[in-house]
Amino acid sequence: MNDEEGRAPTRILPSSPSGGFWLRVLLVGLLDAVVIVAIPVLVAEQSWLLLTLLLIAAAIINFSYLSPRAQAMRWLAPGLVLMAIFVVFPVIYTAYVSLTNWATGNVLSQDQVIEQLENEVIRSVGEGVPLELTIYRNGDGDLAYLVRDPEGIAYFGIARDRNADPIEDPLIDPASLGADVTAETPDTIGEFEKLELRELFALASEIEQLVLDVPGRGVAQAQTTSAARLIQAGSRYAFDQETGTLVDNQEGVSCSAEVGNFVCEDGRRIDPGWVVVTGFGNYEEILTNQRIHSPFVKVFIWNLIFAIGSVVITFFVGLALASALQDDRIRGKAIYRSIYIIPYAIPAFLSILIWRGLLNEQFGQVNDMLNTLGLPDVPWLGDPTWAKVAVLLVNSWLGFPYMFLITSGALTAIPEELKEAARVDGASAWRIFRTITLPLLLVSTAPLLIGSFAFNFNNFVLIFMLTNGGPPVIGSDVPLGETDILISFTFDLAVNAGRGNNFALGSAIVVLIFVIVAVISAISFRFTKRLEEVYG
Amino acid sequence: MMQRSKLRVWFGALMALSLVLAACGSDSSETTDAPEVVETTAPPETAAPETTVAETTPPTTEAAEALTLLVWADENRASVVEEVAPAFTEATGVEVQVELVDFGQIRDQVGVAGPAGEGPDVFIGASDWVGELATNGVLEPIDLGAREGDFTEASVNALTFNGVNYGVPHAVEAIALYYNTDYSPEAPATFDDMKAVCDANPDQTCLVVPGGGDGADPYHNYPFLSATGGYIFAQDGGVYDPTDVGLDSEGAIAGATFIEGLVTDGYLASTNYDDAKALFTSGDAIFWITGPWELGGAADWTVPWSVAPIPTIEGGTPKPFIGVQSFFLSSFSENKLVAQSFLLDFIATEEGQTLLYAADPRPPVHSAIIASVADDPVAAAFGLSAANGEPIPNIPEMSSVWGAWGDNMLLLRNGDITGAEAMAAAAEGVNTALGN
Repeated sequence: MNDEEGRAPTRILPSSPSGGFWLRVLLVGLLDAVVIVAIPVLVAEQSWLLLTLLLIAAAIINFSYLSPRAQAMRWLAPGLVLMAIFVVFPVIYTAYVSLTNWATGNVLSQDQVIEQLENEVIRSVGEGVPLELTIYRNGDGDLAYLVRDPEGIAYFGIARDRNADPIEDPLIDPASLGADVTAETPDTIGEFEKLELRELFALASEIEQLVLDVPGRGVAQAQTTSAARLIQAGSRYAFDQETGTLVDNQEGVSCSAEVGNFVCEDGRRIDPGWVVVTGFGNYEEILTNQRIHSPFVKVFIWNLIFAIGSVVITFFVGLALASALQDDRIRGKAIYRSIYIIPYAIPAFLSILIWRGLLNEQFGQVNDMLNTLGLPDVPWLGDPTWAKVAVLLVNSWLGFPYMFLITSGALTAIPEELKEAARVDGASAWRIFRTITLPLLLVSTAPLLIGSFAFNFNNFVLIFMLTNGGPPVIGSDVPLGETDILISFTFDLAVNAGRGNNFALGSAIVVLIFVIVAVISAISFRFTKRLEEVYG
Repeated sequence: MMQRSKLRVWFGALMALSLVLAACGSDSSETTDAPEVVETTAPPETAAPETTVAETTPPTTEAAEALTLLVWADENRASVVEEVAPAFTEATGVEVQVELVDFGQIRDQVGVAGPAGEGPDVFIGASDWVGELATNGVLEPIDLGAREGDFTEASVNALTFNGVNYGVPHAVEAIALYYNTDYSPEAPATFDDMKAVCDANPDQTCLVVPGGGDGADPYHNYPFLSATGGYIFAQDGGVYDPTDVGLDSEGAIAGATFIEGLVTDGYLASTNYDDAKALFTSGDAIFWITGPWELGGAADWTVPWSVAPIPTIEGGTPKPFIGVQSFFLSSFSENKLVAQSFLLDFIATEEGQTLLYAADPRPPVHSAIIASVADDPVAAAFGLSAANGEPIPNIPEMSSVWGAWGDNMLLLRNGDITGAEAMAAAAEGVNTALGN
């Protein structure tokens, strides 16, 4: 059937192209225009991966919209392309990052690191001696510096490129040019004229490269247009392209490129380092590091309780409300439905913060209400057990409207005759619900329940904003909270790792959690399939 | 038929291509201009060696106006930078473009945008970012030169990492003691004075400090530890030693035990940040320790209040953490000389700092501004507190400290563990995280 439909247009092709065809050409043309504009940008930034993906996506879209053979693709292509961009690419990228050393101190590329190191000057000489700087220019465009140290000693001479060889006699005595610089800064020194601020700024990129040799004291380099500092001639580090080694001119040692950093002969590791693929080191770290895997079981058990508990509670609350609203005796169903949707309609991060306030032990309205009922204050967020209850409570409030919606839909789809027949046979309402409604409901909603489970398993936002994992576990030697789930626990470990952020370790953890969720989901799907075979 | 449909494909492709060319044509002014601008304003640093001075021709005004300085600032200071900018542009011909970036975003964004070539030349930030950003290679050192003496020593120290200065400071923040003048007309000089005031008013909550209840906040509890000689990382010649963790030092344990005493005797309430604020501003609590950022809402408080430095603890002066608000220079800036001139000749000057203080009245760090606000008792109290303070260690290892330390301080504040236990656990947590 499908085949026939797919071939149909070629057979009944109109002799002249239709309006739809022109529209397609127009849209695909516009898309291609955007792509072609993007190509030079991506080439300039050397993002080859992105460029390849872009070209593949463009080719797929062009083919599927212009070739009649690929007509079925027309409906799938946009979705596939968007999924590739927003789902597949981030997953691949996360997996890639997990194989690198991307962390604080290793965020640049090696070329950027070398460029930075080569720009570093030797600072030890005359450090902290601020110099006054005045810049002059003659008719040939030569720039001359007049620098004056705090003692009032002035040096005047033509500046040179900082990477060029020193000029033999760099200094000129201003007196020989008929100028007196001992006390003040003259407007002209011989043929050299003092530059105005605007002219200086126009030459800024030029001046950045210039230094004035000050014999016996190093070179003077402009810091601003009116101040200079004394440094040593030459750069601190020199990189040898051929051998791939870096020479530290200040310490007189050579440094070789190790994994992600230059390491010198004296054992010093030079920051910054660069990003490099290091293999499965991060995964090894997770599996062998006591700090990470010793709390794992405790966190994992609570994580399962939290995720399964959230799904079960929200499902039954939603189902109960949906069943109640099915009853014909209830009036104003639309109003109830709207009310029940409210928690779903408010952005979660907002309602989580409000709940945090409501559950406050001293000032929260929840405890106020308990007090009026004569009950004592409950330490909702401060006590290990109550904090878990609070987390489940708030997540149920956030999640039940979704379950309410899907069960309302599924309930109407269950044929009334089945229940009718059971009723005729004398089954109780409970028995009808248990043996007919619930199984049939599960057949249609199970995939959504699994999705809900996967979502809650990684429900970072709720934990982070409601309890931030707290209250802390007493005696733990890693920052660990009683309500921490895997993702929030490992977030702290990865983002606040030894020396700052360890994005690579974080990515490896995310990949592992992805695997855990995928396995649990796969098992559940297999289980639902069996359910379908029985009841479907 | 087949032939025809193939023809259509080719025709379609041809049309698409012509559209593409048309699009390119109309775009050309933009796409070809951009690289040119980059080249005139910023020749790649590595390509410069061959350029001799003689080749420089007098600049055209167009070239001067093409220079632009991109500044990232938060909403407090964007307006100030925009205020200083016209004078700078007037004098130098360099345009200053201010981009409003959320303060919390700047730290992460410069690390990403800079290396990608899209970052700012100059950005606003806090002193405790310095270590991480410098280690990542996205910060450029700044020689304050002759201007260094204009700023308080503590503020310059806070911006120094491995002996190199990285910022131009403009404000300093440190916590101090807010007190309710109905119950305590004078500021208590010592904690014993404070306890005496509270004993005389048994119906009131005595002292509220964030870091209890459900909200870990080690920052607000550091003065207790530092007063008795506790520290986070040992310092040698201005360089922090991440292998010497002082959380379980004698001084830190003494301070933590002092907190324990305040908790068991009922002087220090277990409050998170919001509870502490609510208790003080509602008139329930007599004393509150927090920072100058709460002054903005002070006009709405119904209680009579004043501010003083935190009272001494067993003879020791509490040293709160100080955080310095600063201007930073990106190491990926293509106009470093211009940026440094902007920072040192326009921002670091008395005029620049005066403008900054007017727009963002946090305790100043420039000696001239400090002198000019000496008459304001609140500003003076925060200034004094900051003068007693210690910079938040700005090394990247500090990120391993907050979690372990904060959790155990929270347990201590809530009376779950003793001071000695808290400090031992905190130090162990930090040491294992750092592999010491």
